Amino acid sequence: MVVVKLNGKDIFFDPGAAFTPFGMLPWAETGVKGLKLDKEGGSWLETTLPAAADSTIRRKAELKLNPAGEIEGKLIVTYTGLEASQRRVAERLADDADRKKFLEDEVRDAIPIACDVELTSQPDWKSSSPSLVAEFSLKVAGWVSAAGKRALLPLGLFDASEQHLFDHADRVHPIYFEFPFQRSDDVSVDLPLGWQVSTVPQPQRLDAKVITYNFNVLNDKGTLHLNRTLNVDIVLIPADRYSSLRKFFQSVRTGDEQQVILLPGGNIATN
Amino acid sequence: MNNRSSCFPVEILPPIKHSTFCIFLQALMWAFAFSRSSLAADAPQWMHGVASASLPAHDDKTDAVVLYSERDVNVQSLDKIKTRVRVVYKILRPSGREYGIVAVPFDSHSKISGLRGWCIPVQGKDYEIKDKEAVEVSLAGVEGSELISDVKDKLLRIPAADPGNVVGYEYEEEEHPVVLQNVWMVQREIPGRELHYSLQLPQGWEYKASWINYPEVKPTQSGNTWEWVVNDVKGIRKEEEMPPIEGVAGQMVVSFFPAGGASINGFGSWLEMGRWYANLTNGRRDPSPGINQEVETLTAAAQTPLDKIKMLGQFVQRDVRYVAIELGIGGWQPHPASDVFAHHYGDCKDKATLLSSMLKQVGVESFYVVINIVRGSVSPQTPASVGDFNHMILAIKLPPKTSNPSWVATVEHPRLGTLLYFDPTNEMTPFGQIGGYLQENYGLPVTSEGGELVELPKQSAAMNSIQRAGKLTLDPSGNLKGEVSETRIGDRASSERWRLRTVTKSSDQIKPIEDLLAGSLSSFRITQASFSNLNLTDQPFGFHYSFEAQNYAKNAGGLLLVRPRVLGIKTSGILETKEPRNFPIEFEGPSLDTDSFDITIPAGYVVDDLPPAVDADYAFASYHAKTEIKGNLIHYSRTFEIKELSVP
Repeated sequence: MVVVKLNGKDIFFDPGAAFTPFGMLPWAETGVKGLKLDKEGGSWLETTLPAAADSTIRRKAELKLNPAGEIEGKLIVTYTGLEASQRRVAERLADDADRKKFLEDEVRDAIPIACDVELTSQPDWKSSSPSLVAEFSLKVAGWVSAAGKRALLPLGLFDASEQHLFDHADRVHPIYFEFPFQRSDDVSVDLPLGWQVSTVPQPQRLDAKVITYNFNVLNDKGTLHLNRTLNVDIVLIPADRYSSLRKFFQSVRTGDEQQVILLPGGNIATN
Repeated sequence: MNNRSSCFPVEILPPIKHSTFCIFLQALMWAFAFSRSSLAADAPQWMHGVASASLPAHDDKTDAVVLYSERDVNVQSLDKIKTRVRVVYKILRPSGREYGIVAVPFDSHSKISGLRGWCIPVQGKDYEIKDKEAVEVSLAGVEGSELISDVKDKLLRIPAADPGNVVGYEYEEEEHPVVLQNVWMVQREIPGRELHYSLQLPQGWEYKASWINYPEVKPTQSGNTWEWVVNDVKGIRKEEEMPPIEGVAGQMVVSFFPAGGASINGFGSWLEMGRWYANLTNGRRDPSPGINQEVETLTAAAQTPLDKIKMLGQFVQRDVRYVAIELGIGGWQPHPASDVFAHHYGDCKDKATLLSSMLKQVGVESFYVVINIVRGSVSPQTPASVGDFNHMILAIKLPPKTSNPSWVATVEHPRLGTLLYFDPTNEMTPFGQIGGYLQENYGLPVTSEGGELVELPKQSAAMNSIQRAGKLTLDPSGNLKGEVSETRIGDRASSERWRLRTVTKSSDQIKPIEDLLAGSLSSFRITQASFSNLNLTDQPFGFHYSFEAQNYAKNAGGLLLVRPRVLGIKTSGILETKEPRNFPIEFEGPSLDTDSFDITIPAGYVVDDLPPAVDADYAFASYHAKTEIKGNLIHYSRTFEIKELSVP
């Protein structure tokens, strides 16, 4: 790789790493020691580690709830930084049908229950731009469930991939995240005419410094706005900190399992 | 069950996508990396002749198509068959690149020569790769597989197997056949445009061709050579939980018969295949003094003939290790019972052989049952073919006027009497029962008269179940704690016993419980856990655990939201697809799971609303769930039953 001194700061480039956004390195080359060669033989330096905000998955969904308990609408997923370049590398030899399935499967895997999802855009797979944007039509049947005269809407629409991160109480080896990352979800749900919001959960905020989680719900005249952010700004966690990490993610899951209580105008279908 | 049941060698088939092969693909890449010495050389005319042919019907998910295939079988004698194979693919998608890797299985009965491959790229010159660039690999060493086997693969990687390009290969095989039979797999995962199979027989020989899963095609004849041609064959797209590909793919089974009638290794019916196998195993069950002595010792305390049968069965099941040494005919022929007993190890047919020998010493007759561990591989429509089987169990003839109600894997055979099916390879299944993989499966009991394809019995759903009962208490903050007992029987018990058989650390032993709780609870702590009857396979296996779940119930606007179904999820996503379903859905076995949870609600709380009961009854399955209030208890009950093994 090449190191360029710019305004007194080292910036690293790997000309052989396709799809890597300008100013970034592939994850395997981040935060590692390298030998900078010079006339005197060289000196050791450490490559940069990107911040969590540099590699994100942002999901923006505009959905409508129907009286049957289905939510349906448009979803835009934006991958940035290493999240984008990793996907471009992984799918570099695939064709359009494979790539479509790859992205749709990612959405399916993120949603805790079965759903209909279809890619509706043509993502830019060939560039090394900082972001990879994919648009989908999304329908999740049974997301809102009946509870007598009420209906319950769970908050965590895209949390399935984090539900089983640390199931077991014991850990032998350290935990290694490939690179710092951020997940942010911005979901709006239009309620059916005549439906009312009975209760929204209190905002959730967990701060373990290098890992943070926020969830906030707003009721705006018949539209619910759900905002969730998970920020992991660390790569290696020793095994002796596992119980704290596990407890943190259990709290994340508890937060995601909070529900909005709705009062349907009529009856909601029961499944 | 437990990967220990596949004891026969893999049948030698034309190169096809082998799932096991994929495991080793990465490891093989380095080998190919050092052997890339392909040359720019013209592909043969037989490839160029079809390279630009129109493609068979396919959709945009099709990885590749077979443009042309040719399998020329030249039967030269009872002991020699020469076959030439030619195949041409057009790669359509990136995931079709694996069709550029040729895998030709062979063993000590067969020799591969003249393996060569070519690529006709869309642009530029053709490539050729020759036999000397091929590597030989032996795929062994995976759990439950053979310890020693002489089955190998010859692998050749054709360069530039990229979308749009055409790849092809040819090779010759010289075989000293175990049986005078050949299977032509007409149908596979990808569509085929033009497929040829020719058969050349010595003067006076005859053949019998049987078709399955495909309309019969008549051959053309020229002298003593017959040729079959099929065109535009549909591919088989895999679906989750579908029957095995051998059970649904179009294929032709050809048996050859020498002049003057059947040979010792030729057959055209199940009856004759049974005779072949009876002959192959003749004398293998003869006892040794050591066997006789062991039988006496084992059965000394037995009160009844049935006790003796059970003790001998459990001895072979538990005290004879599964170790497969399968060389040459050893893929089909068991070792002598005396050897199996002396070494205390063997594969499925060895274990069946030893048990049969021991049973004979107490006056109980038993029969080999050749079977495939994947239900659906063999059906009543399947023509007699050795390659359809991969496992051996026993049918034990119970003495007249004896019975044991717990021995449910029995059938009344009109000629052989009461037969108890038993799989001595399966260490975990209680004596008298069979695993789901054998139920309603078709096997071939082998008697001195020959073979007969029969269906094995289906056990009741209640023989395979999880009964889960919990007593739990909820506090005003939504925290839930209490204890749960699970009773598991049948395959539900066997799977846990198998998983725990070598686990010694207590933190690892409770992982199945952690997995279960994590599936339903966001935040929990196991406060106590134990299991019961791990090694007593006659008894139900049990998990007993206590846990605390923080914030299980959610406070919301003066309400406490409680999910009465505390643990266990029964949903499945296999049908959540827009693709039309083409094949039946296969279940592992009948099952009946029940859940019962009593949740004590906090003092001062009353139930505001209950979810409605759910009742779904179908011929193949049923689901019932109900939530009730009993004083300060929320009682939740659920039953989920799988009744049929196959849903069309």
